[in-house]
Amino acid sequence: MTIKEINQGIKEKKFSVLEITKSYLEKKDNLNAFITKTDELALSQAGKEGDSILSKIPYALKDNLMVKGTKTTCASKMMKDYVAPYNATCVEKIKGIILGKTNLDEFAMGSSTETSYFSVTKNPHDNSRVPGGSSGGSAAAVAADLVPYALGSDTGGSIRLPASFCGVVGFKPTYGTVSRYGLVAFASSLDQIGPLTKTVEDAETVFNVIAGKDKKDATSFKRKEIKKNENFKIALPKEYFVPEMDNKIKKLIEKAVEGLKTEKSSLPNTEYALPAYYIISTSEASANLARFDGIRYGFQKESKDLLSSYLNTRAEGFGKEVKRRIMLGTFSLSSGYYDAYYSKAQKTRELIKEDFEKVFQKFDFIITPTSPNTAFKIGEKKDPISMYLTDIFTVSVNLAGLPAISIPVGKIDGLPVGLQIIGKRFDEENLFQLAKIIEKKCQK
Amino acid sequence: MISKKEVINIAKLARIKITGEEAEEFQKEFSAILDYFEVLKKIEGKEKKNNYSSDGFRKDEIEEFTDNTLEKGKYFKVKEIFSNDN
Repeated sequence: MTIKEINQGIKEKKFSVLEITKSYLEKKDNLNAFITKTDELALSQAGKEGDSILSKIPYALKDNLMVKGTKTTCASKMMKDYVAPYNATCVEKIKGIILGKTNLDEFAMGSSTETSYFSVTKNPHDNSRVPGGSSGGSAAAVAADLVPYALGSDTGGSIRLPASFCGVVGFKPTYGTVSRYGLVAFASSLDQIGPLTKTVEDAETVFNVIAGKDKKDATSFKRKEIKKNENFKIALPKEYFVPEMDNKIKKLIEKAVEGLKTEKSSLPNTEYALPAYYIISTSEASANLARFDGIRYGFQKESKDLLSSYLNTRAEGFGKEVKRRIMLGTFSLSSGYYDAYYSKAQKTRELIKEDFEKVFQKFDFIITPTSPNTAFKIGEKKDPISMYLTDIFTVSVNLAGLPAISIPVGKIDGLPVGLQIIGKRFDEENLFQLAKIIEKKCQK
Repeated sequence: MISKKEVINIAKLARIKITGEEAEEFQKEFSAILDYFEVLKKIEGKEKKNNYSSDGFRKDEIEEFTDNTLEKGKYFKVKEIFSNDN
C-alpha cells in the first residue's frame, strides 16, 4: 500500500494503526531484504499517538541509519553487533513505525547488495537477479510491499539504481537538504539520504518531512524557494543515449517523454565522471572508515599490541570490496600520487558542475535512463570495473550535488526500467511535478 | 601499473593486514582500475579546495556511551603501545 492509501484507510476507519502494522509484521521476507526486524519497537510505536503525515505509517531504514537501541550493522562484520546510541535526525522527524533495518552493500559500497556480510538480497521480479545497490534491501522491500516505504542513502546512485532495478520510485535530494546526522558516513561530500516509495507523491511526502536545516549537520541547508513552473523544457544529453546501450531501454525512455518539450543536448565531460567519482568517494571513505579500529566501535580482534590489533581487526572486520576502496583511496591521497589522482578528480568535479550549469541555463530538467541495463544476475559481475560501470548514469548527479529521481517507466522481459530526471539545485518541487506527469503517462 | 611492494605499503598505510596472495590479487585489480583512471590525465582546470558549504556550525556535545564500546568508566581501555620486547 502507499502512504496515501494507508492514511486514507485509517481516516475512514477501514483499519487501525495497530492492524496495518501487524499486517506488515506478518509478511514473510523471502528476499533477504531485512537484516534486522524490529517487531517490538514497531508495536510500541503503533500504540503511540501522533498526528504527522508519517506518524501512522510503517517503514524501514537502510541499515546504515541509526535508530536508538537498535542494531546498525552497515552490513559489515565490523559492526554486526553495534547498537546505535542515538536516533538519526530523519528518524526524529518522521516519528513513524519502524519495521526493521534493510540490507545493503557493506558500508554502502556496491551496486548490487552482493557485498553485504549478511548475503545478497534477491530481486522480487526475478529471484536469480540482484536488486541493485547499495540500498538493495530497501528497494526490494518496497517493491514486494514488505513495507509501504523505506529510506536509503545515495552516494553515487545507491537509491536510484536499486529503485530502477526493482521498479519503484527512488529520490536523491539536493546535497544538504536532508540532514546526514545519524547516517554512517561513506563519502561525506556525496552522501545524501532519500526515500524509496511506490509513487512520486509518496516520495514528495517523505522528502517534505525529512528535509530541513539541522544544527547537527553543518552541511545541511534551509530549503530555498524556487519559482513554480509548468512548461518544462527538457534536455536529453547524447552521452546518456549511447549506441552500446540496450535499444529497448532507449525506446522506453523515448516513449515516456513523448509529447513533452524535449531537445537533444550535451554534457561533454560525462566520460570523466565515473573515474573522478571513484577517486573522490574512495578517498573520502579511506578517511571516514579510519574510525573502525576495533577500539571505538564494534568488532575487535585480540592481538598482542595496538598496531597488530588495528591490522588484524580491519583485516577480519572488513569485506573485500571495502578493503579495496579504502586502499584505493589511501593510494589516491598518498604522497606522490595526490596530483595525478585526487587533484585531477577534484578538477573534473568542477568541470562536471559547469556542464550541468550550462545545460540548466537553457533547460529546466535533464532526462536520462537511470541505468544502461536492467537487473543483472547474482554473481554475474566478477571484476570490480564492470561493477563500477553500473553507476555510469548516476554518479555525475552526486558530484554536482543535484536532486534526481528514478521512476519506473516499463519493463523489458519482465525486468523494470527506470527513467532519471535531474533537476537544478533546490528545485525539488518542480521535479516532483514533472515526475508525476511522466508517472501518469506510463500508467496508461 | 602498480607493484606488489606498493600494494603492501598502501595496505600498511590503511592499517589493513593482507596476505601475499591478497597482495597479488589487489595488484592485478588496482593496475586495471588505475589504467581506467588514466583518462583523467587529459583534464586541465582548477581545483576547488573546499566542496563543502555550510551555513553554521555547532558546539560538540557529550553523548553517552553504550555497552558495545570498550569503555571503563570514562575511559577507553586500549592495547599496550610500547612493550618490553621492542
